[in-house]
Amino acid sequence: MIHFVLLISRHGKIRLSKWFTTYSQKEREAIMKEVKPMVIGRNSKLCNFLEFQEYTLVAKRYASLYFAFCIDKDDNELLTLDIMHFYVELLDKYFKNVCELDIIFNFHKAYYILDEMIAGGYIIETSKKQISKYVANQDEIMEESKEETTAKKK
Amino acid sequence: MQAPKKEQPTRLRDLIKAVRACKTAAEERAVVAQESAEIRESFRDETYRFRHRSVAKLLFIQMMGYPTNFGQVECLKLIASSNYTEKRVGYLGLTQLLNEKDDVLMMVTNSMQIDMNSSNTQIIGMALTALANIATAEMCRDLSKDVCKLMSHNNSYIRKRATIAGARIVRKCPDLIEDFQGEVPKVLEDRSHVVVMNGVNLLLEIIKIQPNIKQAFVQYSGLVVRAMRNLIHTVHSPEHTIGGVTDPFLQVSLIKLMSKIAGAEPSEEMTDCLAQVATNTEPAKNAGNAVLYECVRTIMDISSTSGLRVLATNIMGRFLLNRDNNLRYVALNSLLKLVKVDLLAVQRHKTTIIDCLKDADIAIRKKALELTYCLINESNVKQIVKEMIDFLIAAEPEFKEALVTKLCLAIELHSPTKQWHFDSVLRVLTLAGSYVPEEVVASTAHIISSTPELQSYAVHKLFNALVDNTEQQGLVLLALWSIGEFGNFLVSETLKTSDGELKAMTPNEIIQGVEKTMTPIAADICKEYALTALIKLSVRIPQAVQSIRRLIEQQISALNVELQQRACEYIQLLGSNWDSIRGPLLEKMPIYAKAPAVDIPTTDSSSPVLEKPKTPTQPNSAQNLLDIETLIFDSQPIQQSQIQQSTEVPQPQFESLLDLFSSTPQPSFPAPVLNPVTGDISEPDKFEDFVEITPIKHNFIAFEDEEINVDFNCTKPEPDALENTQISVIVSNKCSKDIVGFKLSAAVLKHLEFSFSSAASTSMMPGGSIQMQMKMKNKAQGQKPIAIRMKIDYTIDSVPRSKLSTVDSFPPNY
Repeated sequence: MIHFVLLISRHGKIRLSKWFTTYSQKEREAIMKEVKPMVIGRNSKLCNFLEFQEYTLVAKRYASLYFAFCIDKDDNELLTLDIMHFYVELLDKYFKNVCELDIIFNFHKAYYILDEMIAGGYIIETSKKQISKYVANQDEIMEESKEETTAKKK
Repeated sequence: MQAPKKEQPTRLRDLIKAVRACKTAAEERAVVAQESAEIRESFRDETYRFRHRSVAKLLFIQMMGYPTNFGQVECLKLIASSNYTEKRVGYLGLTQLLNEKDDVLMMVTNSMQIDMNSSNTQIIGMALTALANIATAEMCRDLSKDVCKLMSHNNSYIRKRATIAGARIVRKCPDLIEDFQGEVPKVLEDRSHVVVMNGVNLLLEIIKIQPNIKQAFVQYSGLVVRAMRNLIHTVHSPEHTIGGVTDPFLQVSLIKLMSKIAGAEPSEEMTDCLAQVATNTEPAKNAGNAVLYECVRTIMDISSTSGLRVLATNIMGRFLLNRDNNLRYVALNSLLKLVKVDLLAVQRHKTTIIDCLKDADIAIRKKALELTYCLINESNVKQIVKEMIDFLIAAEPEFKEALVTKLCLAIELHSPTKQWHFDSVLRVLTLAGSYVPEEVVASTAHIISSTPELQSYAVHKLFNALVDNTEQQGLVLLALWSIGEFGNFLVSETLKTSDGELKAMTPNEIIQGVEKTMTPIAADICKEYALTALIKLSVRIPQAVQSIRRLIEQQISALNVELQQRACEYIQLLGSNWDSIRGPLLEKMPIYAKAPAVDIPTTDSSSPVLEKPKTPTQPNSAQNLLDIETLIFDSQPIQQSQIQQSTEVPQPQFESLLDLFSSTPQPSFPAPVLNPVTGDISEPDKFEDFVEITPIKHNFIAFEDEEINVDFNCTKPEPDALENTQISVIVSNKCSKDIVGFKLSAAVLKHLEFSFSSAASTSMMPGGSIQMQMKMKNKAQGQKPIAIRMKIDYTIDSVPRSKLSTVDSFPPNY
């Protein structure tokens, strides 16, 4: 299973962190501190798999962001790369040519998309079309509920 | 004074902008502190309309690493709201700001339960996701029933989420597995393949927690194989196709599940299916390779047919040759698993694996090293070790340590000859002596001390290496030790070797060599070794005593107590009142017990030869002499033949005995000898101080059991040629039956030459005996003892007997 997902900027800022295994806030910070130097500046020619504690870290750079997925030793590393890519494609589709700024200002959207794709540490939906549909649908309900609030206010 | 209440709080976007505009960390802290204060203030108002906005801002603040605990309860309030936006932000806040360890979390259980029973699928979905991501064991227990129910919901969106929430529940509360076990078959047969995938993952989770439950699911292997078949035969499903592969995610889960539920013997259809996947999956893209990789892992896990296994190994072979580092990495990883079950299959990829040792990627190099190490055996050790040493030159420190450890272990376990062993260790020491574990230095010292023919060569080689390089600690220690022990060879012998001549050294050169290691910055341990080497050299090279004294004196004022003590004691020992015992005291170190190998050997190659005795050679045939050599010089205890000293006590040569006692009275027990490795004083071998005593006659029983008796009566026929020994071998029949077809074969070490006349008869009556004459020439008489490996074959009542024995009870100077 996936234990956590981190999106880290080139300067070491966390852009997204999702945890599927229980860690206290302190532990989370320690992990992020450990992972950052492992992935930032890693030569892109090297393999994308790193040993991390008793896990494997699958890390890859997409434009200015490093994506890091922590998985079990017996998980399929190659498949995790595809899961990662799948998420990048979803972000790309949602934000239309996603860039780091999109994720900085709309990090909550990035979380919502991730929630539709991964839960409990497993990929739960494998159709990009479906996920986009769900997310669009939820955005719509959200808009409606906002209108509702505004209407109430009036 | 209270700040005027703002009508509209800062929007999330504006906060992010404000933070990004900060030029210093202090500025950022100020902005965050102010915002946090405002948010906290705003939470006090129970009717606050922008609560969700505040929580969203808190998420951002948390991401920057600031404390946000005060927002936790607000998430619960938002979740309880009927407004969708608030609920959505609330659930997001819940999974981000809280974790299982926060007590507040359990307060959400009730809201979640209500949401799970909502008519809105989106809301049910949110509650299930939150449960799947952060629920505590207690929450899992409380909500388990609801989740189970939702696994049969009519909407697949809910079913898939309920299924994966089930995975969290069984993980947290293994006792609830039973509740979900019953639901699994249903979801495995679900019409939505996304639900199937989640079902497979749930089942994998269950099996992981309770491996013995596997058996209950073996019956579903047919179902799983069918699902897999459908998947690989579906042609057009662009929605789920990645890199030309239909839903690799589901494929991988299914293949993984196959390995768990294959049972003792995988069904034919499963084998076929795996073969099909292994053959037909498109390897052009990562997705295809991910499926192939999983397939290979499953094939290796289950008891596959050899054909399937070959297929799997070949796929890994292809991966190994691929330019993609990721593929090479996973290939090495899986071959590491395979090597334990099928060494031969992996051996085929030896060259490619060794090549990976020079990969630019350290992760790959490390895996390759582990694997290479597994592949080493007696037949390829020379080649592989040579290549590993080549890589050692270029390796960075981080990798060197791992490489050196494995390298030394490989040399120790598989070395074909002592000479090669020494040469290889010397190369490693020269290149990376500081990384060499201490045990390796000790075990190499043991080899040198137990192999007399190697000593001169070793000390020359080590001395030359030391002169070139005093940086590598391991090398320095070993060199100093051997210079101390065998320094006499350095002055007296010029050696011709295949790669040139090793010149004899002048005493001065030797002392200078030792001095080089005693610089003020040298490690104390090196100086300790150097001191012991020097004091030993004082008897080996008496001409250099003055320089030796000077060097030892320098250390009298050493700050290290051990060094100082050694220096003081050694200076004392150099005094003339100790002249008489200095010699025996500084004798060569007795052969000490060998240090065990650094690691537990993976093969039985290090076990003593005696455990699987090889047929001894016919006399005069030299083909098996090496075996004998390892046998006799192996430090492992040798099973000794029954040896009895004959009643005729060896006659000592009185002249030499008198000689020995002519000076100051000596204790009759052997003088203790300084052990430079441990610094201890140890008892030398019993024979050590009888060196000059040559018994003219020596009779003993070389072999005895309940059936036969072999006596050796040895004499030195020519007083001028003491290397020759005449042995009369008397074999007698002790049992009450006839012995026929008696044959005695023997083999000896290289420094011995022997011939013997065959017996007049090959049969013995009860009580009868036969006699044979053996002539032995010991070319290293006085230095190396005689040892004979005997094989005795005979037949009693047409039952053949075969006995093996090592005869090594000859006097040491024979």
